[in-house]
Amino acid sequence: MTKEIWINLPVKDVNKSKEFFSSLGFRLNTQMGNSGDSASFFIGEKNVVLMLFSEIMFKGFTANELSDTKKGSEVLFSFDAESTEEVDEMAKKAVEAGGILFSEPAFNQGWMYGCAFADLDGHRWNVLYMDFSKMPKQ
Amino acid sequence: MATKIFVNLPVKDLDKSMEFFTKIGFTINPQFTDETAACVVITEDIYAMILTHTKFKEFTPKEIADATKTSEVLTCLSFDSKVKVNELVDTAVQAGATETRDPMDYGFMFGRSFNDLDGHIWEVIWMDPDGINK
Repeated sequence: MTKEIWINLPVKDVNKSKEFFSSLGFRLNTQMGNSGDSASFFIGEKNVVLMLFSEIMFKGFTANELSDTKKGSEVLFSFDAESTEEVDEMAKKAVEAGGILFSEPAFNQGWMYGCAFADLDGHRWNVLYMDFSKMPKQ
Repeated sequence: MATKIFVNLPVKDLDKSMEFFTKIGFTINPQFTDETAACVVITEDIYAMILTHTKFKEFTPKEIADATKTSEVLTCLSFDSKVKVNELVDTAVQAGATETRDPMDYGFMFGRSFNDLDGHIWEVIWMDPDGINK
């Protein structure tokens, strides 16, 4: 069974992005992963690790060109919130920290409430509150 | 604070990708699966949602990046042992993945990586917990 997951993203400016994700409330991983070329965060309670790498370092791992996130997306990340208020709060924090809210907080299918923002490098994040009591039965 | 995370990835052929992720040892949660998307269970709290291109486009006005040419993300999974890392990557290659590059071996850390059927890169690693604390 998988133990952990790490999400590795390329960023233009490690320090600025470090500030951005700290503003959102992600916890800096003080144990490892932080240098001039990288930063490490925990997302949420389950210690999902988010690693930010300078573009040069990231290219070294993928043996591939970097995607231009202005033009296309390879991935969308979703994490959950505990309430609709928390979704609103995350949307506010993301904008204040320099992110772009491309989908305002709203209800979806009557039981999910979410918003979506792009970070400083155009990577796309979705925050979602799911009310399972209202989930339609199949 | 967040307790679950979903990595949402576009795939060209949902059935083939479901088969691929099942073959390499993950289960599909039928509750969040339909003809446009499938929920691959990585751990109790971590999921990969694989979405058809049409479905993925509902979430972003942008084009879908061609992951065989460029990368936006590297998703890394850690396992208990080197044996499991090798098993998973070998199975992935048999199921149609390509190995991204040579294995890396730092003694306390061992990793291999593969491009899945759509070119998304997965890193599979083992880390010696004692190695980190040294």
